[in-house]
Amino acid sequence: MSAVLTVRDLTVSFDSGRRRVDAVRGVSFALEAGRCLAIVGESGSGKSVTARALLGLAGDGSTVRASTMELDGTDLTRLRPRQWQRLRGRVIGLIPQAALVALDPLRTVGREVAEPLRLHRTVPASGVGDRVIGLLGAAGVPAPDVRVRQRPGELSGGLRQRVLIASAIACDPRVVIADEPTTALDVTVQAQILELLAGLRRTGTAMLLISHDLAVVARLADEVVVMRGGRVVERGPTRRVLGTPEHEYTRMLLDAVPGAGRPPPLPDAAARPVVLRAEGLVKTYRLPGRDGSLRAVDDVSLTLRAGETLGVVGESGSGKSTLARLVTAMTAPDAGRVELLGGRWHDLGERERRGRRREIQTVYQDPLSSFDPRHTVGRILRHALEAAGDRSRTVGDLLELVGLDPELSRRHPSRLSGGQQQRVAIARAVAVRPRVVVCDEPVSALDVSVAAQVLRLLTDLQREHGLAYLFISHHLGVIREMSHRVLVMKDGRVVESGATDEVLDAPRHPYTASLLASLPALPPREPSTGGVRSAQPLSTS
Amino acid sequence: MRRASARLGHALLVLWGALTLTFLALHLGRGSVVDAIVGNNTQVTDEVRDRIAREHGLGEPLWWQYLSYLGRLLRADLGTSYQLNMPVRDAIAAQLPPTLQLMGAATGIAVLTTLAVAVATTRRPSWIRGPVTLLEVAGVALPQFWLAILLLTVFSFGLHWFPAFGDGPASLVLPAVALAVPMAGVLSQILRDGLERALEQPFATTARARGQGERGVLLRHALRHALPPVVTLFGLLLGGMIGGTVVVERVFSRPGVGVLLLNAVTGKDIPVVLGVVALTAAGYVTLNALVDLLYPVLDPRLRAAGPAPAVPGLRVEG
Repeated sequence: MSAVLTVRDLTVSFDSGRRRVDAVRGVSFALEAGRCLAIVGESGSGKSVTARALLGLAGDGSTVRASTMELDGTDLTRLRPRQWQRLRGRVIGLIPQAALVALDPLRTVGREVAEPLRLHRTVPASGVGDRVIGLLGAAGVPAPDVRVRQRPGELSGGLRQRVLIASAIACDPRVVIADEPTTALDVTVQAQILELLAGLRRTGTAMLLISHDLAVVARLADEVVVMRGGRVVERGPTRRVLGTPEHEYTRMLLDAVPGAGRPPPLPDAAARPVVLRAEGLVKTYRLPGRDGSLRAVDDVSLTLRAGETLGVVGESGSGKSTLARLVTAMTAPDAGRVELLGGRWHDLGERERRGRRREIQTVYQDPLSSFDPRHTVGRILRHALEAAGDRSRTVGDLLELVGLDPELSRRHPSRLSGGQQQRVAIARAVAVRPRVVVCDEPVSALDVSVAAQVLRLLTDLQREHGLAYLFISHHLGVIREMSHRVLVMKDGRVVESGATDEVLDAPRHPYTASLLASLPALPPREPSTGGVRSAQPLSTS
Repeated sequence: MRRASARLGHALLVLWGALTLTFLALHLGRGSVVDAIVGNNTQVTDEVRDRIAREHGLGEPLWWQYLSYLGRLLRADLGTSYQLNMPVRDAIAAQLPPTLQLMGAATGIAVLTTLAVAVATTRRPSWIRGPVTLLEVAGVALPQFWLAILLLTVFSFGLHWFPAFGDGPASLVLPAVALAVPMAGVLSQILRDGLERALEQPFATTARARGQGERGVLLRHALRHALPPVVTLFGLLLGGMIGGTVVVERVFSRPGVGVLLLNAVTGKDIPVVLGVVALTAAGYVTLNALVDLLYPVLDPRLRAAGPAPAVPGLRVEG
């Protein structure tokens, strides 16, 4: 069978005034109808730029060169803007990540899905309405006749992803590029979207999957291309590449997937002092518009002992983050109580509480927005040390503690990588020598290899300083790797709790079981053979 | 409903504040009101002066004059002009049409120029944008009277394209342009900024990936995102435009409310000044209320009080 998409020696470079950056260097692959090829890599690997170049959307200041770039018989290397427009959406479609702004938030879902139909006139104007409803139905959107009149803001993330899929396949394109199609979705929703994409592939659509998530790749792709720094480092059938990786970078990516490790054991756990105790916490929010209200946290109790990590796992809307705000006394509970180090906490006056705030610190998912953008790293950490009245340690000590070069203290956080930013946030949290650290999705925005390092840092700090972590994550692998005990939350309630291995290996609550079942799994790794690296491009015939 | 009444209360407050400030400024200012009524070149006896003061209630304490003025205003009585010897209402009514024509034309020109300039220069190379931005800044920064005189000199006296004075529609062009330039200069910069921000958003990429052309992405997606700040500023700049009519009408020797106000201020014709201030404040407040109604049209997410989704309880994940 011949390929619908053939790429040979693709190079994409960006000119930004003085500097020229090569984002993609000599990438080749071929894609056949009904097959799925995954491009895997971390941020900066060039995987997304490759995808954009295939759509003629590499961006301002980019230069795209290739010895061959052919889509369904059309030579893509010499297209004018108008010719690109005729291909996009009709022969090649894009499924972007379902961020709220991936769909125009001011237009109805119906108009968004209808856009390619009207542009390419693949159906008569009178038939567009019916076709849109049919497409939404095919993408698994319930009650499509109602949804067409709604706007993206009124839909859940999963529904928005289905709408994006409906719009991408509206004109039956030969090739669909799925760029991180399940990132930021809950695992159960992710499983449904993966099923939908697998179905699409079975109907003969060729799929180019761009992902950093190897488990997602294992679920969908026939072949894998691993990219790093704009180059292909390894390629081959999915089972082979993920089962017996040949390149050290591929092995590192696989090793970094969280879930394999376990937290260091906690001897005499029951004898350790309780540092944080919550009983019967309830928090209700009024829903805007209607008269209803939402019990974001509903009768939640927990105890956290010194040196221990208590994981809190649940999907979006389960109340995890509200729980974090309650135990850090950022929000007052409607009912229930919180004790910190055995003393009053939630019902203290803010003036008294301020003196004790340093005992419980928080590390957020997005550290950058928790820094004053005008302050340097040094100033941020110096403030924290001054707040603690700590003269025994310097900013340099703190940076070394979290594995950063003390030279970075003169930089602004926005000039650091995501992993470095999170290390600075951790340094700021431990600077005041807290007893409890609330980690709210601390590695969710990081590349897997960076996330693995940050998790290791947290584990080391816990061992050295006896920190207790309340560790919030939607990622079961991360939870398993970090937590001694775990709480599973759904709709504001704790549905299951216990020792991590017991809960995750033998779940008693059906919700926990469904979470585990939804998790896409990696194929079993065979012992490394360390064999020859395959650097040959795939045959295109 | 609650929002509408709050809006109305706010409007009345603005109106009252504008009138009170003007009233105080005029009465506490220098010069005798009686002299102003009598006229500078007329000699009259003290009895006549007393009679004039009594007729206009000028002997009463200031607070009483203030309250009785507000009382008359509530009965839609704007009083009688000291200088024109006619009701203020009639004086304004006679001058209003040419001013409304001028402002209407200026607003139209400003809006069309804004749209055309912003759309034509969004995401263009700097050799196009640079000169345009310079013109925009110049349009905002130049004194309006100077701009008016410049237009008059070049396009009327020099090129003879438009008449300098007169009644026809052609004579409206130059004054309207003079009035529109500062507004268009500000609005087109804001609109272009908004368009460029919107075109960077992921939804613009999604639209391009569907085969939408750059112009289509701009007009069908980005424009609506870029308009709200433009609309806000438009409402505020309308107030400035009312002030601009005074200058422009004077330079082009056009009849209108602006000239009426100018003469009334120099002649201390208090009822006319207060009448014009009341009218402009009311107009400004009304226009801004209308502008507020535009937001939910542009951004449906603001229609929060609208009906709930047609299927109750339908919130299916995935």
